[in-house]
Amino acid sequence: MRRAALIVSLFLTVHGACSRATAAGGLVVRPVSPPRLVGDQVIVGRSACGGATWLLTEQPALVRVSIAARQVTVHPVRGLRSDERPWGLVCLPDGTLWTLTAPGLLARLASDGLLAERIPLPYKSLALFGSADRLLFQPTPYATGRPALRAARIGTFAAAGPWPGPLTQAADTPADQMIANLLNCGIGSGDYLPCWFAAHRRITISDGTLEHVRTLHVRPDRFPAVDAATPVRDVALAGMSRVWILTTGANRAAGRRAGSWLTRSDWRAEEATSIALAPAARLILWATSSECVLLSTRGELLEVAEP
Amino acid sequence: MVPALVVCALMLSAGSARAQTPQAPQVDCMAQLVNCYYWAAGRSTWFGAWVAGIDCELSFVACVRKAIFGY
Repeated sequence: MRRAALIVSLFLTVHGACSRATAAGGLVVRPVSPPRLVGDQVIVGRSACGGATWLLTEQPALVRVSIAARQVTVHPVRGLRSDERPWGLVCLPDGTLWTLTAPGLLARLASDGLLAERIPLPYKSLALFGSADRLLFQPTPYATGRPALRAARIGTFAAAGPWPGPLTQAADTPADQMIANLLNCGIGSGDYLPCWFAAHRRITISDGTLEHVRTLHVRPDRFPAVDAATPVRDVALAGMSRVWILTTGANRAAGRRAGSWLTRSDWRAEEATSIALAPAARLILWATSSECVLLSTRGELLEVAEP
Repeated sequence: MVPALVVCALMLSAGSARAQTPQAPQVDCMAQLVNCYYWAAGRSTWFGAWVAGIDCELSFVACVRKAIFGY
């Protein structure tokens, strides 16, 4: 297929550095905030924009983590109906915040947590992600081998087009198919967004054009004590040259999966460097080419950078 | 008759999914799915049961998703 011919496969080989926490040209980790800066509530959405990273918790609450000040502001989400369960969070370039409160219902949140607007979708979506000014939806995967995501700008949802990138996976039953197609996306850069299926070791980076789809193969088997069932915990692109990958550890933290290894590489699979994380990390908050800030399982911010 | 067939089909689906999702949180999700399927099968029409079954599967995937992707 032409699409297959257009996909560039890059292979990340991270085993060279994975056995040492700090190496020459390696990484070091240090806390840059007090513990429990962020609460223990399950985080169901994350988006970085405008000098901050926004988190949506199951409570539900909207949490703003300032990059410069490394301060946290928490606002309870108000205006939800009792049957609404928010999932996903996207901050568009205009500063508006969006989430799914139900599979067929998009909602805009004000920065103070007030649910300001509901927009019924013409389809049901399992997830919500963002790339630049586009919202990405994951329709229920009833067909296989098709783009798993569809992209639309605000006001054009009925005309959402396929997003070249991850392709829907086959399974025997509808329930199995939904599980096989559990998809997550990390922090993007420009139009590019990294996405991966829960059970896969493959990360697809796409800007929504057929010409710019890249696939990175991670090698979690090279790390000790990795959750092989869901190896990729989080991914962040840093500019057009670097990618940070948080690998899921085999041990749970308070019953939850957490990232126990962080790897930095370039998109050409060269100069891969990894560091073990203790405490483990819940997710990536933001990243540049030289540093990555994580939220630890203790609720503190961890900075990973070169020595 | 039709709701009974729907129950059988949905239960078979649930059994298959259970075999592939052995972790504890997902077993809880599976139990919710099975209960939901029973509820769906109680709809008065085949179409109603089918639509309710889809909602059950959406709830199931939301449950498993939180266990896997909730940070």
